[in-house]
Amino acid sequence: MKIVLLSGRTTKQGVTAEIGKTSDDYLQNVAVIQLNQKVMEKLGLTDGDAVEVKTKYGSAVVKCRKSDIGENMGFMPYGPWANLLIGSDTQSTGMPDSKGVEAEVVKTDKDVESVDDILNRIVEGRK
Amino acid sequence: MIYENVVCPFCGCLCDDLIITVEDGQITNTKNTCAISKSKFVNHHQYMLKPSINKKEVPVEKAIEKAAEILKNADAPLIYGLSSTECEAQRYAIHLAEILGATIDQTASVCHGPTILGTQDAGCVKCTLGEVKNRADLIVYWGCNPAEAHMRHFRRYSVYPEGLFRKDKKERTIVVVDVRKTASARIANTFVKIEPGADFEIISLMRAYLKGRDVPLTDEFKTLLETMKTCEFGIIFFGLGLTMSKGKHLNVDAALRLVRDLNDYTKFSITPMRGHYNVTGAGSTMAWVTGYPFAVNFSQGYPVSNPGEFSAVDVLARKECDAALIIASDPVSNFPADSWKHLADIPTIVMDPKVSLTSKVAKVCIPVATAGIEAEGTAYRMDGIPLRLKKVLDTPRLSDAEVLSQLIEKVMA
Repeated sequence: MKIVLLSGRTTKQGVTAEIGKTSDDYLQNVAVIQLNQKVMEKLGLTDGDAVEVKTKYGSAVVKCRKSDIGENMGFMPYGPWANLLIGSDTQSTGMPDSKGVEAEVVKTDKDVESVDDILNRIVEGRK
Repeated sequence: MIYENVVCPFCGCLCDDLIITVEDGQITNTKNTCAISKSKFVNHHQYMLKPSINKKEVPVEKAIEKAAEILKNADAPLIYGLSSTECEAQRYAIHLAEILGATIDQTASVCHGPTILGTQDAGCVKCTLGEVKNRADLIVYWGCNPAEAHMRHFRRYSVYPEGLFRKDKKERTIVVVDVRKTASARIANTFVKIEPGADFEIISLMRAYLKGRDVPLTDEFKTLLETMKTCEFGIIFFGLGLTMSKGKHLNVDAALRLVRDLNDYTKFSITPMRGHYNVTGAGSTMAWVTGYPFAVNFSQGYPVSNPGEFSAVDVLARKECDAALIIASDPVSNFPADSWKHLADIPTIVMDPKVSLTSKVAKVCIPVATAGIEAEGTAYRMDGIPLRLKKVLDTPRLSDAEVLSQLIEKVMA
């Protein structure tokens, strides 16, 4: 299903980042996407199921969370998972397109990647 | 030991009424902290960074020595971060960049950098948060969610505080404009929903309507405009909903001009909701030292600024640096993967109190004292007011300013 991907701060993201970005608390609260309940029903998802979010820049596996966000949107907390999905073009401003990227959400059996998994994948992939 | 009136080193609110209790070298209690601030104070000792070279633990002196060697041998080093440390450290970082002929950028680049660009173009009608608290009867939050990002903003500056002329929420009107109904929208008198990426168009239509043009502005925004025109003292607080969405600095430019136009009718101001606690200071310090607030390059022996060319995301994406010094920030967590991966290809040095994702790909890690907890210094609040950070804990670790000062000495030796 196509959505417009938004990213931003959440209280839990802020609190757990201050504990430590390699902590399990951080992963549980940042590797998530908030979706509208109707979107989740259409995709056969229940709260906490894994979804793969894909954009033309990359993909990330995260847990879905029920939200009253609009049906055409998904919201992810700032962090390494959201940043797998945005490109590095800044249109000469310095700022990437961190809000408003078109994305596709699909149900998946894949596991959520830890920060170490992400680092390994990206660092190995560059070779 | 109880420390009073401690300034919080988390977000741009710089709340200066914290009470921190320290017993036996540990923070045992906090008062007047938000959830995130409390987490920063009580967890500051968790996941602490250790000094290392190539992942092997070394004495910190060796790590600093190696960092100086890397920087000295680099042709085009990048220095990045700065917003979560204090102004003296920022000054040293800029001095180091000048000596090295480096590129230096701060985290506003991926935050309110477009706000800086918009302000350079349109100017900004400013006021302090104290004036908002005492006088504002209309508060518009546009593209920001302080309930989750600046958690005490409502209580200290805008919605609930007892001001000179506005005593409580009943004497203020709160409006939230956003693409989704956030936690902040739930406390507002009015929530106005906007489609993602429509900010420039809507604000431009509002400006045209204000000037008497017949434009297709919806009734919802006509009502908002009337509320803005007829208030006694209005303020727009705006966030990354404007700066990170399509249009970026043009969105901010339009909002700044709308506020300028509104001053034909009433008193109106606008303030960005700055994220990291001293990102405003990073911009101010860079501006008064180099003449430019971000994205500065010293390779010609004098400062040149050009966002898009010397901004960190672009420099890394184009692989235009051959070493990096990351201070008090975490680009591996906060940059697009296509950009940060270059940090794993070059010798990257990280100065941070805690393990960060960037420290995991760094060649050299230098642990530092946490500014605002273990080191004092100056920080600028989101409205540009400088406040003094306190030191509430002793630590054997050097401050950012001390490490940077040593790096300067070693690079010049």
